[in-house]
Amino acid sequence: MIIAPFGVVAIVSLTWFFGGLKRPAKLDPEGATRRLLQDFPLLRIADWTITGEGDAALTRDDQGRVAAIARFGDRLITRLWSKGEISNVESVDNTLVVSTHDYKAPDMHFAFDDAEQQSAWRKTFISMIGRPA
Amino acid sequence: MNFPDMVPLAIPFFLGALAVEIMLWRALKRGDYETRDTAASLTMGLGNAIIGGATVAAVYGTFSAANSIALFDMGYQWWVFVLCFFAEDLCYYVYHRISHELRWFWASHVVHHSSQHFNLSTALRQTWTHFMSMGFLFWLPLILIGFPPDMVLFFHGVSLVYQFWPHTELIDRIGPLEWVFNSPSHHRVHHATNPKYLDSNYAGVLIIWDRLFGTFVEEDPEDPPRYGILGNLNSFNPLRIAFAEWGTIIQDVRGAKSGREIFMFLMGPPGWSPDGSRQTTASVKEAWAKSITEPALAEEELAPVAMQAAE
Repeated sequence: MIIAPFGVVAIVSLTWFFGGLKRPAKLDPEGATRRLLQDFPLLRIADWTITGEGDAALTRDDQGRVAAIARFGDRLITRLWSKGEISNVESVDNTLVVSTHDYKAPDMHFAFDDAEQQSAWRKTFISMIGRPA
Repeated sequence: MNFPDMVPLAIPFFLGALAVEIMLWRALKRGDYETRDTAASLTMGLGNAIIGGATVAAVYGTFSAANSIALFDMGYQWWVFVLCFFAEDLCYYVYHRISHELRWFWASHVVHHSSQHFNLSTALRQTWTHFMSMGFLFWLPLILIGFPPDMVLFFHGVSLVYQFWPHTELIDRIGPLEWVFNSPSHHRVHHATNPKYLDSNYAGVLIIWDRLFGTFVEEDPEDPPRYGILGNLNSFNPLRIAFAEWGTIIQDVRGAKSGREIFMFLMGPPGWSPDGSRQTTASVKEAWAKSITEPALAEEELAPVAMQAAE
């Protein structure tokens, strides 16, 4: 047992040495759609708002839900939020910090180039604040 | 009888095998490692070993108490060893299957599935709440029948050590042994979130239980596994990895409107919600089956999206 902590440090260092600190490719609408449909096969979405120069993307479906996709580590995570699943929205400079009731992804950050888009998405998220079903 | 404690003994082997796999990952460009993911997995493994060490006496005590009222005294004959190996592996299958089907046990087991990577470090990404969720009670029937507690714990250790090596993308198939034993190919399917792979291949050592009980799914080269869980974590923080699902359970139970809702939030399938708005493995499979016959986005609907990308 005593070697375990040293072993952990050695193994983590080895992955770092071999280039283990990676990021996935920047998101584009086509890639985001393809990835989102893997997790939510029946989703009907219109168009994407790419945020943070491809760090994350937002879209709405035909039922008024918001779908998000974001880079995490060297992978992506996806979310589909219904009304009530958002707990708070804050604007910090050009970034929306969206808090959810989901302990697996409590805060997500979306940086906007366009202030109008940021304002529109802020309103959308505010309208979804509530308690989860 | 003195049985060795297999898991601590195997730690040097685990670390050596990890080092070899990491070097082969770079040399052969097969498999994948991410530094923060690996650090999180190994931290979870370390925590699991410490908590396991602290609670093993309570587990052994429970088993010993149960052993005093066992139906038979099976002893240590050679055939008891053989029987115990198969019986322990069947118990593991049942425990593992229920850990995916009931949220109380899933809250503990989800930790092991919470990485989007699949490598030997994933094998060590283990829960810190196994004792709290009472998962060890699934082995109690063996003790009540009359298998010696130390023998059951020994074979459980053997099973856990065996389950280390199938967590790899370096090995493709293992030939005819795939019929009998859990293998990397079988276990890649188990860790995948592709709809057709969900809820399958619960084997510990022997894959025969999955074949027998209808939960076996073969890996399809045309549909490479995507690893993780429905609604993946966006955190490498070990505390969040360990307790995210428990936190959500507490939140759900506090918001429940009836006794039935409380029961279902605790003992229903993971993802169950009163209005059915959340994803369960069943709803994902259903959506996937529908999407094959009625694709969500027809080509002409995708076209404007693709055009935006080009702008």
